[in-house]
Amino acid sequence: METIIQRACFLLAVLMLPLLSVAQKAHTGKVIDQSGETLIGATVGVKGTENFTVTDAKGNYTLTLKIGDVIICSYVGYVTKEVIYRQAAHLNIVLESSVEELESAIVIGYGSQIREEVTGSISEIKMEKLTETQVSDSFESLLQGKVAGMNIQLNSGEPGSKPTIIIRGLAAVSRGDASAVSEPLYVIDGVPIISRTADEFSITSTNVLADLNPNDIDDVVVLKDASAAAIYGSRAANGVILITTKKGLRGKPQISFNARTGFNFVPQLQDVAGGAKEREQVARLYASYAPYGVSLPNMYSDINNPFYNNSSDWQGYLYNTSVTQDYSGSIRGAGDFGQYSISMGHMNNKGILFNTGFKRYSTMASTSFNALKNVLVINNTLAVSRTDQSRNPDGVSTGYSSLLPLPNAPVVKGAEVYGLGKNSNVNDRIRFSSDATANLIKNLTYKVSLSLEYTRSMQDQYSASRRTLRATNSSGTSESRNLLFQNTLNYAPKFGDGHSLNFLLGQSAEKIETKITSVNSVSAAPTLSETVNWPTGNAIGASNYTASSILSYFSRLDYSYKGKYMVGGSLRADGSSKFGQANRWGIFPSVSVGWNFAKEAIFEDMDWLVNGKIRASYGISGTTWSNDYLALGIMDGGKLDQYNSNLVISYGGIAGYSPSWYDGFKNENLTWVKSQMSNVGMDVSLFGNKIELIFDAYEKLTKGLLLTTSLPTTSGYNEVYRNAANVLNRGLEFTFNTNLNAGGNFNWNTGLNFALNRNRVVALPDGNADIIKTSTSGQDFGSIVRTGTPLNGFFFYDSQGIYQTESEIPVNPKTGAKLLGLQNKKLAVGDRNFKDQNGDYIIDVKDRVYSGDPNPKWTGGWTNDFRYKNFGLNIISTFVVGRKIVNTALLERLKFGKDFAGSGSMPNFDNYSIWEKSGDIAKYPTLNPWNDASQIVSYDSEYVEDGSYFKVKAATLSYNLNSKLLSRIGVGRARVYCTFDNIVTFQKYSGPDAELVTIDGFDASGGYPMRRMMLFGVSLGL
Amino acid sequence: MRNKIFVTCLTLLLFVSQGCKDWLNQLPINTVTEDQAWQTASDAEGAVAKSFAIFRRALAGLTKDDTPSTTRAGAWGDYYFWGDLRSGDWITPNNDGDWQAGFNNNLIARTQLEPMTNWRLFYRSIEQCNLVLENVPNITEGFTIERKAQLLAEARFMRAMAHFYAARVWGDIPINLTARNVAPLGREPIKKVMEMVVSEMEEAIPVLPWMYPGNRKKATSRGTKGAALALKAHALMWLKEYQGASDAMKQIIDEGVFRLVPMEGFRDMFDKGESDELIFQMYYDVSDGEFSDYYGHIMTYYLTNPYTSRGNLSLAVPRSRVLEVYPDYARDKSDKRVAEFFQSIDFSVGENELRPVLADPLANGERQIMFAKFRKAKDRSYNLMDGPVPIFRYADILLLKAEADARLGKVDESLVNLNLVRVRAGIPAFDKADQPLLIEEVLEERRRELFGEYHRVYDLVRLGRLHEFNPSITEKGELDGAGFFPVSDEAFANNPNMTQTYYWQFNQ
Repeated sequence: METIIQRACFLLAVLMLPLLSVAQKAHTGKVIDQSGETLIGATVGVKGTENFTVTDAKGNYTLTLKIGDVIICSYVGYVTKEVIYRQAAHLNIVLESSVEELESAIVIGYGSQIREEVTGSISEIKMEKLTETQVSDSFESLLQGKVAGMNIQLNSGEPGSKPTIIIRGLAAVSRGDASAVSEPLYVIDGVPIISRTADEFSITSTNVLADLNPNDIDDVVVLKDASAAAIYGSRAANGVILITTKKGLRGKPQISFNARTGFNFVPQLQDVAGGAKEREQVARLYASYAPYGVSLPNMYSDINNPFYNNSSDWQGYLYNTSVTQDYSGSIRGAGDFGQYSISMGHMNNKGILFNTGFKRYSTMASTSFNALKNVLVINNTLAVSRTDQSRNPDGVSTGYSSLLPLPNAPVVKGAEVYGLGKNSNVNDRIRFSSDATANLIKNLTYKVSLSLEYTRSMQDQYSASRRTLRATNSSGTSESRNLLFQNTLNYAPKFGDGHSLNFLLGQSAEKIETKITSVNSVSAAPTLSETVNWPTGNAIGASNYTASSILSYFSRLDYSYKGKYMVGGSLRADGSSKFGQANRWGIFPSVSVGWNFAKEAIFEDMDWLVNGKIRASYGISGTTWSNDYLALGIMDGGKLDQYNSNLVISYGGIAGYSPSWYDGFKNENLTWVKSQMSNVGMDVSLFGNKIELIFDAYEKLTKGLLLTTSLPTTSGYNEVYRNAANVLNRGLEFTFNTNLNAGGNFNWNTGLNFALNRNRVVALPDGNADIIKTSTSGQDFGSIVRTGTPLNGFFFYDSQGIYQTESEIPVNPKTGAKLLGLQNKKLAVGDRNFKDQNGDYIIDVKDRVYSGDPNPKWTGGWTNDFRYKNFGLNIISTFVVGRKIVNTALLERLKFGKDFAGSGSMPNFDNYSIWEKSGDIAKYPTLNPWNDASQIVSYDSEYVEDGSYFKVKAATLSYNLNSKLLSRIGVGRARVYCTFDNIVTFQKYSGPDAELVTIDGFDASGGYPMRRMMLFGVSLGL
Repeated sequence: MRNKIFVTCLTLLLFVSQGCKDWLNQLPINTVTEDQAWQTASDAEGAVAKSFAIFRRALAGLTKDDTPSTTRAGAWGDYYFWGDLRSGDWITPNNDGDWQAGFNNNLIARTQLEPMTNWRLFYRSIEQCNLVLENVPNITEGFTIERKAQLLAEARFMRAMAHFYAARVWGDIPINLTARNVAPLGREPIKKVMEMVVSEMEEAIPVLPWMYPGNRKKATSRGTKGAALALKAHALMWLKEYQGASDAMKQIIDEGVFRLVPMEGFRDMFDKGESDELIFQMYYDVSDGEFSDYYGHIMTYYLTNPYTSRGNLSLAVPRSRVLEVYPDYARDKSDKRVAEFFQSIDFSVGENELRPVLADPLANGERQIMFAKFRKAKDRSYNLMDGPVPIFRYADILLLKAEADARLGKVDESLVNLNLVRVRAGIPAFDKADQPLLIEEVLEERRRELFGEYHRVYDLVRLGRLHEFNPSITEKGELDGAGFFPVSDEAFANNPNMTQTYYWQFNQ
């Protein structure tokens, strides 16, 4: 509403300008913020002139003004304000913090909308507040806990790793055992960007989005429901994240600089039985279980053995405190000519683990030109960035036996004790987009935009094996090119008594190409080269190319009556090259309604009700798959084998094609995965916007998720793809914000959001038959997709404890045979007692039962922001409630093979209840390494634990420096701050960190612990 | 100005609508789609060659590239493990546990032997042929009708060949004669499989030529009339239809395309695959880039330094067994094959030097005789192994015909062919006209002539006599199917009609 008034006033002012060319006089005024604080260095000027000045140390300014001039006032972090000068009172300007910029326009797909009239489920996050005092590899991790229904988990502490983002529940199944994530679509300044690379084309594991400098981002809008997202059609089913970068503001150039240094501390690591304890434990295992003739290895029994007396702390040696540095600077400004914004950033995040780290270099320039008296507005954006992630080659383990000497020990000095090697991952991105908006006639604008994006990732890896003395080199480059051409026509008339219409018509054509080239070599002797250096023919190289294109037509119509009643609808048609001719086009419609009930007459007297709106929407959006040619039936010409031989390619010198046995055959029926989503919601603001409540309820039915079905071997094919599973996600979302001024200089804002999500598979093909996924991990079976259970649900053997006596082992009354254990093993006392579900007296895969849901039921975040005078304290917490996870970290460490001695570190057995003798009340069965089948098996329900956690993620203490002092040295605004990151986690889970878990609920045991960080920084605004 | 903008926009729109026409047609550049794959004669030539290439890989063995359920990084040369390993003639001087388990017919418990139980690649070759037979008839461009018919007949040959080979390994197997057949196929009795092979070959034989242009090696690596007749004869032997088998082989002999080469020609035959004696072989040639290295060829395990970088013997025939199998050699060193097939290496020379081959093939001790029927250039490396994998050769056909004729009571005819092979080897002609003795001698001659050439186990299994030579297999066990390989777990996935061989339901 305010915007409308402002616009009206502005129009009036412009019209009256010629009439009021009266004498000009110097006037003095003051600029303050809502809390009465003077703003020093704010830009004040007369709109449309060069007449600009800056407020002094007292917040005062002097300007030559005449009645009717439009005073424009801007200040970083505040909403730019325009005031028409009529009387002296108008000279004192109150600026509102931009964090409160809720009433104004909000970015939506292909345009913007007045927030009050939004009928979809949309959340907006202003990034300034987060990026100013926190440092992060990628902007996504800063969004954790900020939006109800957007579940972000940082499942690795490795610098440059990718957090998982799931909006409104999981709706993806992977081909093998690996977990798939339903990824949202990312759009920067109206341009969908490359946010991931298909697995077979990705060369580095670095988060593709980590090259965006979070400091460049102004705000992030999350489109959660179909009415908001469906305009993005075939890629919107998992939500859309719209990113708007910072732009220049009018007035004097805004120069800002932010420098911080953080210290990363090593968190609690795995417990290790060191030295004598390890010897004692190994000796005990040998004494109890070793078969006849197997004796304790020398290093455990011989005092003279050089390893005997060691107690190496491998974790302590390889994990160390490290430093993170982050610098960013920018110059921005705007005027009648347009706007400019130039920024640069550099981050150097050293990992706590030996040899790991992440660096980012980024620069971005965005300019706008107003031409032909604002009839034509031209925008150009160029962003260039590079990330450089260093990792360890596979050889480095932090779990060596404590009896092995550290590399710096005199015994082995100079020798390479752990795997030699290097692994560098460099991602580059160049993004250029150019658009022109023509204001054709009143209310009608036409916009054409062309965007080019280029990403390149390179990996150079070198590793040497101590055992074989062979060196492996591999190098690879993956390049993606994205070309996008968009045309939109927008007609937004207002007519009659409060009718307003917004009509959008658009077209877009997009082509994405990806190419990969990789070479690797194995040489008989270690080489010194970190790049591929082919020695004697043992070299393999490969390249691959893929391309897809999308052609879209879309349209949206929004109607609003007096900002009270809103109706909207959108329709998008997407054609994709990924589909066969017959099945090429998909239609994605949506409808929505909204009612601003607070504007009704009956609520007029209720002053406490500032705003109240009820919304409802329904729509269909889609997702495709990453294999561009899947539906076309990909043939395979074969490739050189590991010895550069043509054996798979040709026969007698004649090369030919065969089907690619893994991707089935041509299947024109493969089609979009379609999501039907309905949403109802309510927004309420109370007591002068002091309290804000947002509630949403949704139901998302994802139809035809792409699944592979394995085929009988006699067909020749391994698998075939089909649109098979339907998954239902239902949820509730609550957001509760307060903005309390407790009087005086004390301010308390709190933001609490939490979301409930329930996920289950509702339909599968072949009469809802279970789908057992291909096991790629060497496990004896894959996970199961079953109707009525959630995606990734655990199907485990049901543990009933441990057999304490021979008589507890069931006997088949018919045959007299005892229950057979897993892998047909004879069961004995001390073994795990699994329930024989089907009563066939054999424990096998048929006895697996549903044993837990790894999808979080409740996710959320709680932010508290205290301000007292110049001090600020900001505390961010996130939480997950009602999630089951598997303690694979422990499981893997308790699983000993026959050659266990010396092969790795051991947990301290005293800390775990492990069965040793009859009568032991223990959680874990006997650890007999010589047993035929290990007692420690994956899929033992005993390892399923509660994965709920509450994490105080970050706390920032900041201080705004005295303005008077600063103005003398020419600094407008300065803030010093100290941020603690990853402060404390409250969890029931017995493993290290309930967040460091894969999306399908397994502890990322080989993972990287999350560092604790203490960050110090200064942020300056000139 | 406004008009200019309008005009620009209109031009743009026009341009856009023109450009969009083909915007949605994206095709791969490193391969083709199904629609593109069956257009011209060269597509057909390539597709047929590919079915042979897949079969060649099937014989070499399944690896983890073919299915995730297998962990083996490279093929071993599984044709040996199916066709010779369990014949009772072999030992493992370096005590390889997997070989030992194989000798003892313990084929299920060892994970390393698991890929040998998986027939996936055979059915890939079969499916490739099915696709050829479905799609090539529609191709008209670029070849003569005659060539097209030849290619189709070759696909028919390879499809039958893959079924035949798999049936020798697994016994009863599913028959798949239609493209994209995703139905869960059950196992058909081996008799039905062999009958199918015979009837398919009857269709293919008239169309196939005796030879293709190009060198002998290339020609005999493809489906010729001779190969198809040999296949038909072998299948008929399994069906115990000896007359038909004998007739088919007579055709081969009468045509005169193939001959027994003198002993001096053995190196060309076994090292290079270039010989008038070979009827059907798997093509390997460095010049076409089709070779193996450490993985992929049985020579890796047969040979040591000076041929490869292996320091010790992995698979060998005990000295006493050589003397037992070649009694003429034991008596007077007359059997020239012993020196062609076996060698003794001077193991006293260091592992890092080129070890000399001793003059006396059996100079070394009991467990140190190298099986050297197939040799590679002496460079002490595994590189560039391109020795042939013979499947049918003239001597095999002569001896098989001798068996068929002997069983038919045509003793004289049988003796002629038997003695052709014996005379070449330098041993006295066999002249006992007693039928059972003759049959036995023919079998022994096949053992001698085709030693380590992937025939022995099939001969014994065909006759139900594996238990006589392999002490780990009982007569009862063989009746229950112990002579065949077990069916892998993977074959049971998504196939309720699959069954395990009776013997292997109870044995490991």
